[in-house]
Amino acid sequence: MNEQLVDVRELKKYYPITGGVFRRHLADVKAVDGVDLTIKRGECLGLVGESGCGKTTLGKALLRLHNATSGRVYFDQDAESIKEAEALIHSQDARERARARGLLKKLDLNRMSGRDLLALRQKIQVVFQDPTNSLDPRMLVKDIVAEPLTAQHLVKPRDVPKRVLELLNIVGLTADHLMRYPHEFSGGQRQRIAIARALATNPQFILMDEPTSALDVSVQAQILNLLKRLQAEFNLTYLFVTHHLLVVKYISNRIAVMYLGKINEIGPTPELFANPRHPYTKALLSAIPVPDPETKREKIILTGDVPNPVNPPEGCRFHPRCPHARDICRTVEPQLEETGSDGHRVACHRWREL
Amino acid sequence: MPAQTLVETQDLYSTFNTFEGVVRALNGVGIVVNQGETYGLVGESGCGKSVTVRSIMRIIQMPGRIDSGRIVLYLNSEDRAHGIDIVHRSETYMQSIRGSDISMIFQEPGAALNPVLSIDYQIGESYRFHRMEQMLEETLASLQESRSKRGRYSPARLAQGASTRLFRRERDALRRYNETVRVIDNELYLLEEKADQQSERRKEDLNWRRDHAHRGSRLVSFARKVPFLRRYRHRLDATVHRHVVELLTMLGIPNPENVTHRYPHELSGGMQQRIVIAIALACHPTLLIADEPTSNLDVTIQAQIVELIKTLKKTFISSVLFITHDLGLVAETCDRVTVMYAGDVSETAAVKELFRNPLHPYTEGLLASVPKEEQQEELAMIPGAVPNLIAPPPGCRFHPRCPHRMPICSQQKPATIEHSPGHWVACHLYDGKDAAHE
Repeated sequence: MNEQLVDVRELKKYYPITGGVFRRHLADVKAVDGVDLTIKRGECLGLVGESGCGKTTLGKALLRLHNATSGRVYFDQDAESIKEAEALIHSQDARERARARGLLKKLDLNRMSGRDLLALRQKIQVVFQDPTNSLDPRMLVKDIVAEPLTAQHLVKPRDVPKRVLELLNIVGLTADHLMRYPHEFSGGQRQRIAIARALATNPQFILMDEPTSALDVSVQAQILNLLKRLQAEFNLTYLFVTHHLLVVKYISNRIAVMYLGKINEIGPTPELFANPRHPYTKALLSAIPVPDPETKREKIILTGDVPNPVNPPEGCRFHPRCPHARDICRTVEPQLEETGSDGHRVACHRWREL
Repeated sequence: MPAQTLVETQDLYSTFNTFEGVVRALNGVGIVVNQGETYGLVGESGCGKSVTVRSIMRIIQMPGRIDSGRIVLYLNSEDRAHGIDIVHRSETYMQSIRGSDISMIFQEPGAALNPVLSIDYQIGESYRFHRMEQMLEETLASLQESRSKRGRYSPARLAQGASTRLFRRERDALRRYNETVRVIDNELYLLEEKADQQSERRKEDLNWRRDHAHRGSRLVSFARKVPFLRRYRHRLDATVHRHVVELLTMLGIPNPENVTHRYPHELSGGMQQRIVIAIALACHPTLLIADEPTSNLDVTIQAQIVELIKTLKKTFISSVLFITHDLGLVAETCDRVTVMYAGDVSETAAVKELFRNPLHPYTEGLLASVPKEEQQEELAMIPGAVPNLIAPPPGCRFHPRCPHRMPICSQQKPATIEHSPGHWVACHLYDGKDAAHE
């Protein structure tokens, strides 16, 4: 069995901009622009970044909620076949590349179809940001939670109610809540229903797309603790997308920092918080408001805004806002490189000096 | 030196009449904002933070209303013996205060700005409304300066003469209006403390007269409506524009000339929020109310905006009332904090004191449920959810979720007591005897 549950290679997602009478293709919004990422079994990877940096797009491409422009997403495939396919796709020979395309139909989530895709979809689930919008207001709770079960034919129809109740109990709801509509619940309870629905198919991987950002602090703590408990209980793997750094610190084992469609830095949580290497990560960490009036920290205040992803800056995408930018940053795009042995990688030309 | 009060609410009750019932959003809120301080108002959504400040601004929308209580303003307190209770003041009085003495930054800059008006117009509106006399004065001065050298009956000279006369007429009308209003306000102020029937009637009369005082001149309002003729006002627009650019430069917005010609949708969220701040600061308010100014912005942009408000506080404004649900922001920016829960004030204290020694069980729970930087153990949490305010729990509104619940909590609303100097708490744990013991 492959240790990496999810293996993302060179993933790109461009949204075309069209205009004119003939809907001519004018430019692309480069939401995700070449991301390599692996997620280990049983870990929680936090994905952090500002709004518009492509966090959600990346997450949706992992679920194939939309088709990626290019790149591969291997989900729960064995390491050998991934290696083979990767070797073939990068070969010079056109015939070998054609063979790779054939292979990828079985391996790559983005090219899969039919039965293979349906089987994989069972293992991948999602919890969205705002439970008010992600739950159908005209469905009863029992139907909402039962929907994945019936759609995937996972349990016999007569066993569905039992399973639904079991799921509700897991997230801390009771049989009283079965015959109600989503609007009758508070935000925290709605998010619990969404989590129960995600758990219905016994998934291996759940994408958490800012699951707590619409909730209040005291409720947020409840949901975070619930998610942590569920992860241990069912051996789940999370991709936790958020912009709240302290939440991500609390829940994840590894953190990836995104900026303008690229991953800037990735590493184990304690290591990343102790030794941030990328100037953007440093600024991001220093900007967290600490709930303790006694500590006063030096803040790195970045100037300007996130650039437009239609034509991102040349070279390092962060250079127009970077306090340490040099000539090389303006021309050459930095690649992710290893800083130590523990998988801490950073994409910056000057991380050694800073 | 004891701090001087700037705004004070006393026993404020605000309600919303809905089809489901009466939402008791505020349940006797009392907060005091002093001169020169940054005051934080913290709580979860639906706890009445925004309703409190909207009550202070008197901009609660239907079906909401202020039921009872007092909101006392101590503006220009040097020559005033007592404050002004603004709950019963006329709407025009409130208009003259809003944006001029108290102004507000709203939560969502995208929704606070008007999408069909240019930035220039939206910022300039504050100047046009509150500083019109000054604007007209300056316009007249500039007209005087740029007098045409042509002959006396040349079209340019004639046009300039006409617009000078129109501007003068407008200024004089405005002065007359201001004088009337000043006299009415003075009398109202003297009547403030009296409550007998005769003075009540007089107050009503004065408020009506203030609302209906004539503000402009007929000729000017005719001239500004007629096409072509109204072009004479371009000179006034130029004066206002100069002030707008000056203000934006002062706020450190790059390329202000360019920004003023744009519309809100062309700007990023951070920039929009800066424009909202500019509108609020145009007339140098004494109190700036910031209603979750950063909750929809990114962390790095949030840091920029908070830094901006901090520096402005030093130079521009006297006090800031900062509403947020982010305890981290409170710890970084505020001097004193009030924690609210379900329309009640739970606790008020200096920031350091509150974080070091939270007294109210809700404050304790709230502080514990925020992930800390070095969080190792499981997060503490407050069980349950915020109650429905149509049928709030009797007694202390927090008692169904409180770990230290006592029988008295469900029967009686706890009074706010000063547990230690400057540290106020409303909880039965610290009532009477207990406080004396400590």
